Amino acid sequence: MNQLHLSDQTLQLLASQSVQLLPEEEAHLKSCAQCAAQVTAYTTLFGELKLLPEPHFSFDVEALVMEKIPVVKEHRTDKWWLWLPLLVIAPAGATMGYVFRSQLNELFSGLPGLEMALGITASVCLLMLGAYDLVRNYNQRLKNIENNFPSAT
Amino acid sequence: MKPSDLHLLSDLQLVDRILGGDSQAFRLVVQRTERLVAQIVGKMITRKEDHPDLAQEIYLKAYRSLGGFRFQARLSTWIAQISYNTCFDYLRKKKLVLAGDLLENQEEEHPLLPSAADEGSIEKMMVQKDRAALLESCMQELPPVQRTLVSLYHQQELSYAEICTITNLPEGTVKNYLFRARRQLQTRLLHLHKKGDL
Repeated sequence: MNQLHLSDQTLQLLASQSVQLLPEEEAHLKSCAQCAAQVTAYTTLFGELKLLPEPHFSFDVEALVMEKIPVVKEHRTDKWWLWLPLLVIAPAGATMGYVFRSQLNELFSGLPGLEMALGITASVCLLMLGAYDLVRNYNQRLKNIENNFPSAT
Repeated sequence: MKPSDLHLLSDLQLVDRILGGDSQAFRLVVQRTERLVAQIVGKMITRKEDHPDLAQEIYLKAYRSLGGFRFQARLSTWIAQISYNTCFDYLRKKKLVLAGDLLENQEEEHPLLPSAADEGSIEKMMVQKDRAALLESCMQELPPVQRTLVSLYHQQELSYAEICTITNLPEGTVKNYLFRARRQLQTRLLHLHKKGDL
């Protein structure tokens, strides 16, 4: 082993201190001035590479990019008006319920209390899920439009 | 939130604010990643006239695709990936040289490796001359992808995993390219030394 030089890959790994040498490789390195010199040369090279000046843009990248980014006036959290329809729908529903209360009473009079409660709960849950899904789809579509056609927003 | 507080935001909070329409949050992303993007564009594309268009294209792509960012990597790594892909596409369109294309020829042309007689010679010559300029000129002779890998690993000190994410190359390939690039740099420096340029 002492006659064979260490591979270039091993020398590079040694220079970056990311390899554990075998005992025979270590013995070779101690006795071989050429391999030792190459490790030193690579160590110097790596140090110099680290110190190379970092490239930078010779123009104002921030200004260049930001002029193309649309300024969205409304934040997602500011869309309070999405709840406005609820203010109309809820009183309308209540009024309808009041007006047709006798018919509704007739319709559900035959049902036992537990079944009625279950029915109402299930209906309310379904309505809430439907509304949630509607709002989520709307937001997703809006986001897609913003992503694909930023100038449109 | 005050503009100065924006700097404290995490990737997740930043993305959320940008998707909510806060363009100032995107400005911060540009500020945070500008150096890394410049590093990649600067190493991949030597024609400086093309840099503004590329930088703009990279950030607009990032802005438009932000909704699809899944936080599997850091935001800066993701933008670096977009930068690399954009530059790579640019090189492919222009039919310019990619990784490894030059390597074998140049190694044959300069088959010198330091010998016992050259002990410490590279170190000495690098002390004697403007080392940064010399090394920079040797870097310019590397193929674009290798040049970028060297810079990401040695200058930005990114991990192999991050470099693999950015370049979409397997770790073995990244290590191999890095090894060959450093060997070529070493060889080229020695060649210049022997030629008497130094």
